[in-house]
Amino acid sequence: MIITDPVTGDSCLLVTHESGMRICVAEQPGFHTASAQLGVRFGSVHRRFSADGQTVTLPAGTAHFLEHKLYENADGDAVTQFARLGASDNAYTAFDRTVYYFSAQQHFAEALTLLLDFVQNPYFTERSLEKERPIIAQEICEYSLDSPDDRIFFLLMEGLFHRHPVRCDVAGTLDSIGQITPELLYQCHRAFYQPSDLVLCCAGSVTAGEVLEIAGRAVKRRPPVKAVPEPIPEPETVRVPELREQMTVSKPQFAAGFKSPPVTGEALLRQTLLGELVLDYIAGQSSPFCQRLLSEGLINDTFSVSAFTGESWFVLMAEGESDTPERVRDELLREITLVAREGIDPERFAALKRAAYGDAVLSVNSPAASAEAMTDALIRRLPSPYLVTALLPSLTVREAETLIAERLRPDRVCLAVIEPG
Amino acid sequence: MQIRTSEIAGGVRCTEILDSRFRGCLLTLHFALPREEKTAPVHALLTDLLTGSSADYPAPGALNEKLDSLYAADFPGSLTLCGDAADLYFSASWLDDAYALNGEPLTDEVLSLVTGCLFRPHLKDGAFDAERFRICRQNLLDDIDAAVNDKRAYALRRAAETAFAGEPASIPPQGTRPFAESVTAADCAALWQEILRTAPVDLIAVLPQEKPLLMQRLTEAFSGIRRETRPVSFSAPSPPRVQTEYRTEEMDMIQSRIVMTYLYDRADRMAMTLLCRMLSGTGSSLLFANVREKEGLCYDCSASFSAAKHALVIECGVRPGMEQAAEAAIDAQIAAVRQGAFPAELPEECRLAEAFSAAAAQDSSGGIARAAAACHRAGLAYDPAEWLRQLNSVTPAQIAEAAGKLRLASVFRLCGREEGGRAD
Repeated sequence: MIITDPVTGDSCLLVTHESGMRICVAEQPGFHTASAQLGVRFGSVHRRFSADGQTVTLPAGTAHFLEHKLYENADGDAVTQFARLGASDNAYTAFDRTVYYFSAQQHFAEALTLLLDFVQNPYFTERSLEKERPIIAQEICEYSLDSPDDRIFFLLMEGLFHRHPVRCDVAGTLDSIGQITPELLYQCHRAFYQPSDLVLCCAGSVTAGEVLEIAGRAVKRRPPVKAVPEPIPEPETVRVPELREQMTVSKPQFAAGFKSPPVTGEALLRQTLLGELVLDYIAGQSSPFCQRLLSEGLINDTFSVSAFTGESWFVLMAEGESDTPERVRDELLREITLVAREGIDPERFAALKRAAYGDAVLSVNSPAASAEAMTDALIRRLPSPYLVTALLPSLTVREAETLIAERLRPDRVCLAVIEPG
Repeated sequence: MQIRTSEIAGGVRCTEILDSRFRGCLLTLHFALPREEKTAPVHALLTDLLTGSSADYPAPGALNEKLDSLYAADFPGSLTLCGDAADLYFSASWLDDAYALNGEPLTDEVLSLVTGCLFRPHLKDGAFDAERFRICRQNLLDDIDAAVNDKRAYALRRAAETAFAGEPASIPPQGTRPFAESVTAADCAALWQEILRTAPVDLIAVLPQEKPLLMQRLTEAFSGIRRETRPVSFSAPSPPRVQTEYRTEEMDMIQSRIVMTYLYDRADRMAMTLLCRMLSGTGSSLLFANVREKEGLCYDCSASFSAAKHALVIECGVRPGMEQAAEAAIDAQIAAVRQGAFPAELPEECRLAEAFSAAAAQDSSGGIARAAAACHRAGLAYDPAEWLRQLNSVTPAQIAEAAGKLRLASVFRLCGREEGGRAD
């Protein structure tokens, strides 16, 4: 099936390989490089699943550990092999997915074969896991424990969520990574890395024929093992309204988050776009609220707003630095009440929609960005990677006002603060 | 891709790069400035003062609101340090007119806004608007204080202060608090007028198609200024050191960071580029393969080099107590390259990786503009084909020779606590 973006004229071919793997290719002949991403719906929040009649509970950080160790095979490691091909490779584990990717100017076919090969052929030993643990421990220290930017995010999640694994760092903890075994990694690989769970997206100076031919050779057919992630029971309320911690920081850092019920599929994309627009309207850089707080010295230019959403969580948040974080939260709540009472100005809302449209058109204009957008759409099971520009014109002021009432409730807010210490 | 360069005023060079693959337009305006302790905070303030309001949009938030209405057009200011000089630059990006939903003349509007901000700033009695200045200066002071938040950036900054002590390159990017506190709105306005008059200016536009309006507007804007260009050199090699300087600082953190600065006198730029890549930047790179993977001493360990300062910097995050072991392991990798003891295939892998990076940069308008600006700062023309030819001419012996010229000038250690950290 060929999918075309009516706005930009971009198009891609979407096919389902006989193994069940979904493959999406955007040919961009004018570009010098090509990018490939291989993604799977297994991330840090997938901590309990059942497969083959067995329920498995995973230590925090298992998906991330698996990502690290998949690069190693009996003959060496894939990183070295990518380097020999002149390809730039990497991988990341997020809350809801793991993605392996590379970009190359030459030897794209060999690099794609390598990508498909190492992701499908795990090789884990106790010795190699032991070697990896201190490396991941340093990663946890660097990004989670010594970085106030990361720490404030997880502090907020710990305040908002009672049980949901989104409150745990993607890389796990210094303790939890010690509980991961080769058998556990094999079990996860069998359960979540079935060809039918994988999505492969390529873009740039590559043809669909080339990608499909390589996939035809390299994708394994395996007897299906159906892994069913267990639903994550999570109350609608916030766990605590306020949470504090101390770190070496120059002034208090804060994050205020509003928790609301999650949605899935296209509705999630629509609600996320609306959430971002509403936050920009209320407290974005051009808003009178943001300008007033800057002028009063309550915030500085680190202040920002964002939507953090997934299929089992929905958080709208504001963060920054302030000597009086509680006052910023209270002012934000007052502003939300004011906007809810007075309604949204259609003209400003239209300008923000135009800005979001401009961002969407400009952001996907390179092979790497196109491959990433296609992977995101397929992982989220969206019908097209070009939905944002199609959805934006249909978002209404009324929907935005409803979102304020339902998703920015004063009884569903948590304030996390890191104080200088 | 077509490249056209012209001088539109004394010391004002404009490079237009036409590339139909892109949907957006990008215009970067670079002002080359000498670095001094007194003016560093002013440069930092100008990135904010000139992009947050103008005489046309004086009200708080009005400029941002206008940018939103222009389909998320953007106009940030920034500061890049290069050697003993600074590149104060402004970057305007906007959607090509062809994609405007209602036929709005986006290029026209954005150019008016950009020239308005830079050439008609929001001044009152020869000074920037007092309220706007107060907010910007407070942001700057908070930024200076916040240097301690990002441990990696903090370690790099302190390492530069150690390695380049007494040279302008040791001045922190945003200057120091005492100087930032003493700056006035009038100082900033006066320095900006002087910069417009005297700084060498490099304008780079990456456009999907011809935009005659761009040259016309920029030429008009500069025609109102009596230019007397003062040359600024981005090349300022640091003098050789008699002995290695060690400095240690402690901080309440879980991980330690070390930064090792090596200096060299003369070396081939391309050989040094490949040496840097051989040390870090690919999966086979020596620091990754040995210091991280084989010895498990760190998670990140990377090298970068400044051709302007003739310096190669290696930074690393390690377990407290393992700093010296990591330093020895890093130094051993440099020694190995000096002796030519590296995998035979590594130079070729690194050449491929460099060639890929250059190709990838050509696949985005931002990458093209950044590469062009870097070439211009180094006094070179932006010519990807010539760059590739030079890259391909470097031999493994030249890389070993480049490594042989490195002398360890300083080691900065930011030490965390040794008890092993906090576990959930």
